Amino acid sequence: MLMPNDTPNRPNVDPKDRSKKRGGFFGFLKKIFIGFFLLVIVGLGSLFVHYLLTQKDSVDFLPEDYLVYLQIPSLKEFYDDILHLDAATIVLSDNEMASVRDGLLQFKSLDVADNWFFRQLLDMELNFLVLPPDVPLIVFDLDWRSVLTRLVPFISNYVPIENLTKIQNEQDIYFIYQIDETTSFAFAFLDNLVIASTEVDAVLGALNASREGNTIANSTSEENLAKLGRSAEGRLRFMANTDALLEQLDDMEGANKDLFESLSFPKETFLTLSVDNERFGFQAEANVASDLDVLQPIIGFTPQPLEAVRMLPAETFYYTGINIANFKDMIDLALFLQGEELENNLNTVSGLSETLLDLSLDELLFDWIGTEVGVFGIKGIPDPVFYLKVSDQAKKLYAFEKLANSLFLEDDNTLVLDNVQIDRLKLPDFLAGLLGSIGVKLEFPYFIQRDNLFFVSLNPETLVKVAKAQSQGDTLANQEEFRAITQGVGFDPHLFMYYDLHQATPFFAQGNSVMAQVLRLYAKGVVTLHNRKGDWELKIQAVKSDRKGAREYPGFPREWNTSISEPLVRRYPGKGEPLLLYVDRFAKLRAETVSGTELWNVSVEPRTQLINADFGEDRFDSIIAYTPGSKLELYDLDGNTRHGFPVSYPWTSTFLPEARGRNLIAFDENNQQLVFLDREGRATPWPGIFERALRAAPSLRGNNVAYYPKDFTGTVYLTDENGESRPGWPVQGGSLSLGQPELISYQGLTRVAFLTQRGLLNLWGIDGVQNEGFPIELPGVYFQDLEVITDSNGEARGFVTMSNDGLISLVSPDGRLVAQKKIPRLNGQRAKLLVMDLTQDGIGEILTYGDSDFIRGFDWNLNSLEGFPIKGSYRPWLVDINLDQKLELVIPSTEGKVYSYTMDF
Amino acid sequence: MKMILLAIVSLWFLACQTITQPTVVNSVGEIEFAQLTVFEEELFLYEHQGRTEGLSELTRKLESENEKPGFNRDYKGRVLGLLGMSYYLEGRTNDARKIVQDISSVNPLEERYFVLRGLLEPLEDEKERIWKEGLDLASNRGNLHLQLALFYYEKRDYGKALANFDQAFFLLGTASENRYSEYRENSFAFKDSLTIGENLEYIEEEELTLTGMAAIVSLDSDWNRSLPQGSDYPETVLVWIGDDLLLSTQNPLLTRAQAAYFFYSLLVNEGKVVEGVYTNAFAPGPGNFGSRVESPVPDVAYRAPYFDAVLVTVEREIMELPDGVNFFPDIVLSGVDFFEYWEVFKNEFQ
Repeated sequence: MLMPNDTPNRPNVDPKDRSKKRGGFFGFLKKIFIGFFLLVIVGLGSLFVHYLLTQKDSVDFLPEDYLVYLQIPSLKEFYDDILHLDAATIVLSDNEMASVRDGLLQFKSLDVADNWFFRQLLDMELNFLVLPPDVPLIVFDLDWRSVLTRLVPFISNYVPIENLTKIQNEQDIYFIYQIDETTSFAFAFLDNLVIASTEVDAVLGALNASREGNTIANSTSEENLAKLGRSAEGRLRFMANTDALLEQLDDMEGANKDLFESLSFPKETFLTLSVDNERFGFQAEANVASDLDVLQPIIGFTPQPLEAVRMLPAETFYYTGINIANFKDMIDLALFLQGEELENNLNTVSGLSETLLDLSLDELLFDWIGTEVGVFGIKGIPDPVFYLKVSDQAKKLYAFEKLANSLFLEDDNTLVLDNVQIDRLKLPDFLAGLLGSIGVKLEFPYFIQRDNLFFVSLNPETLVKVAKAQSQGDTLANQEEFRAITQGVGFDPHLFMYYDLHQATPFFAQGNSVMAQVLRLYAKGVVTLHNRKGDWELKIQAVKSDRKGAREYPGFPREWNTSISEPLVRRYPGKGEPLLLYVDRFAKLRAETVSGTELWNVSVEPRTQLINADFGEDRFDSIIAYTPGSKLELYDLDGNTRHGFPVSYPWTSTFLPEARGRNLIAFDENNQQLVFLDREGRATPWPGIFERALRAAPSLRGNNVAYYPKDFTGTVYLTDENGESRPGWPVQGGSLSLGQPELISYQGLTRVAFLTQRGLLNLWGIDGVQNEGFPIELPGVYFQDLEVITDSNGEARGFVTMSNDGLISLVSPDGRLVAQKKIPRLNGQRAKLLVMDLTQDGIGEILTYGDSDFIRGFDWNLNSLEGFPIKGSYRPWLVDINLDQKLELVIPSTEGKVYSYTMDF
Repeated sequence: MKMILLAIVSLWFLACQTITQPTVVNSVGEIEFAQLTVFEEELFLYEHQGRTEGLSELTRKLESENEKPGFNRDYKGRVLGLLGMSYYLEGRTNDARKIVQDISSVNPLEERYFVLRGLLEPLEDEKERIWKEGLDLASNRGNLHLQLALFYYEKRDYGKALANFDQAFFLLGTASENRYSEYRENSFAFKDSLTIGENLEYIEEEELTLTGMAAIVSLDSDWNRSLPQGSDYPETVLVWIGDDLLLSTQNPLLTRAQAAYFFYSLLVNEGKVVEGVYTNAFAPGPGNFGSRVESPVPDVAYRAPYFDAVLVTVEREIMELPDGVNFFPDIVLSGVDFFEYWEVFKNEFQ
């Protein structure tokens, strides 16, 4: 029994026990954690088991009514190899690809794009189909990555995502993601697969096809499926559904349609593409048969190597050769295609030939013309050379003899040029008319015969070149480049075409289609068409243009609103493409991607100018605008005014504020003082004292400040960072200047360079003493300041000056005149100089801009850079548009266009 | 994509076409080029220099050239283009229209195919679209650039006019430059301006009068809008300055010195410059009163009435020393010259 004073037996709790108690609590937490962990493991395990049990084959979801099917075994490899292509840049430059391009660039600009783990995630199979009429369908096989994505349909019920809509019908669950007002894509998760398309119907169609068994898996042999994909050599092989493609060809008419309909094709056609930045290859194979009589001699014919190839002069810039069974077959085909008109012509010719020449048409033409005809062009001569192979020399002589006897050969029929005898033939009108009706206009041509090839041209010079090339061995076939282009291409095709884009553009590379633009990247190439026992093979092989210098970047020029002040071009983090920023004539500050997608615009005061500076520590994160008067505005990358801005100052700066370190520098004219402006807009006066206003920002280097308050004696000051004058300073530069002194480093020592308007180039040491060889008196009047060329260590390598009459001088810091050249039509009073490292060798090249709609570019010898002048009026900007590690120039123009050029030196 | 298969099968036939259409990959040779150049130069006189006499003779020559046989479609297209232009200049628009059709069948990429179509097109927007379409196909076409330059100049879209003049001069050479350099220079001066309006007729004066100067300023809406308090400042002060300038000379034309004085007076009036600032700065010191003061600008004497005006405008980079030494105070300014200084001054003034 307890007594009142008794206390119950309370356990004597010592601190250790308490900790045990707490340990018990933490132990409890630990158990919960372990339990949770086990739950996750079990969950994941279950999902993994589910994955193993429900794994699906992507081929079972590819509809059989596709147009083209491309299998990409690894998206990662595709991303690494294919998307770095110049050709891919062209494809992406299309306006319809704007959102894809921007998304891709945004992704490429993220650090995660290079993350190893992330790239492994990307290492998945992708099936790409084009469905009729031209709808893309992509089926990803996520494989083990699908363990988590299986939860997406469930999770999406509880986690709303902006612009994402989940739709569930009786059979399927799918999602639609709205990218912008006009663009959306639909996708569905199905176990380990993701099926996506820009059209909902395509996704639902794929799911339906799978249920009903109308898929590629059931319609195509395994052998054919095995042919697909990306080979070790980097070639991509596509499969085209021939039947579905043919159904699309409903716009053919007349004989072409008859001919086409007579052809029978295999069910699948294979297309192979191998492309890198140096070479382009395309191959299409199909077994084609026809019951049309007119095609039998062509389909069944096995050609011999083209003989003319070994005779083409080295200067040949295009050549088309056709292998034919005989000339009569070709004319028959032409009759089939061109119809009655040609037939009538042929009948007329036949009648006249028999009357006037006593020759049948066979004797006149068909009996002696052999199995090869063609045409080629030689650089610098506009007239082409036609040629044909003589199959029967005796019959040819017989026909010519008849022509000669009929006085169709001119009396003065021989010409000797460069020791080559060239004959001339006046064709009978009826024969000239026949040729004219098929577009070959030869009334009074020259001709020569070499071996059994008969060459005809209106210009005898071409024939001299043919003869000389053969005798001297200076033929196209002997050129190394030609051999490289034709490597792996037989010379026995039905058709052989060679082209050199430097000289002329063949029909298939003309225009602005994506294919034509891609082909133009590869300057020289061949197109062949082979037929081997019914297997037709089309090949295009081309090599990269060896032309260096500036070339137009795909997708440019594009239009813009034009600016009343200097626009800026910059790459900002998180933004896919670099931005073009400018104030238009309606006082709107506009931000758009360099390729033209407008991002935002805000109203600003008239005469507002953008400052080429940023308060960001290591990269751009804001936009600074200045209105004379003086108002400073700071915007974020979405066009919002930053907190605390705008800031108005009770003074006016005598020059547009410039960047100095992380601050801006301006000159307060009211109080005659230099002012630093920081990120908060605070203005901090510099302690130096000025008797007159500065008209441009001073030069700062280390703890030195150099400046020139405008006066008529060219007096230049050098002070320390506190405004204390350095010993030996100020010094006199000689006369008025429109520039400012530049602090440079040369041979490790700081020096001051200064150019006066009268062309006196000064270079002082820190002690105020002119360097040896200075001052240098340059001819002309100088309205633009000098530019300093530095190397990658920041050491000065030279000074560039430009006089009002366009004389550019390059002076080395040791006082030597390295180069001097007067540039025609360069207005040095208006043009501005710019030094920019276009060649990426650490030393800048010289550019001029602003005086016209041309940007001129010069090397250190003041020779024009290849590809220059280029178009544009404002300051050029060097940026990497597509994140391919190569820089492009972007130049807006007053013309209302933005130009861009790739730099390849 | 569907075209790929078509291409495989029909390439054979395309090859036949290629043989019969060598012009697609051909260009005009040296001799033909020289002949075309002669025609081009002659046509330029009628098209741009206002000559009329002898045009029918040129037309006949072109008709004759057009009749000659030949299968270079590039050359043929260019001859047809010149002939069409010749018809157009003669007022034979129906013939010109027929030529347009002919060119389209010979070489639809021919430059004058687009030039003529644009000239024959009555709708302004369509005209511009046609010419731009021609340039989209190939940008190195001087005649199309020149047509667009004149089109934009007329529309007072000076930035676009400038760029097209530059391209045209580069491609067409000196004849076009000599003819239109004034238009080009005006375009350069006006390209960034927001204020070209009623004052254009004064700006275009080759020798600007004082009245013209006053008109350029007072009709400048941008200037009036930007003045503080929207005051009657322009009326009173400009009249005062104008009177002062007129009193100082009997010459009604505006000289460089007078323009400098005008700017200087406005700056003084606004309190941005102390009157006589340079006269005082260069004044002889005690003890050397009466000695001759050397002016930093040799052709503007220290005692000249516009000494301060010249030094202030040069120092503020409103006006310049053309040769780096002298100011050339007595040179008469054109309207465009003054306008360019005025634009710089406005920024300085604000």
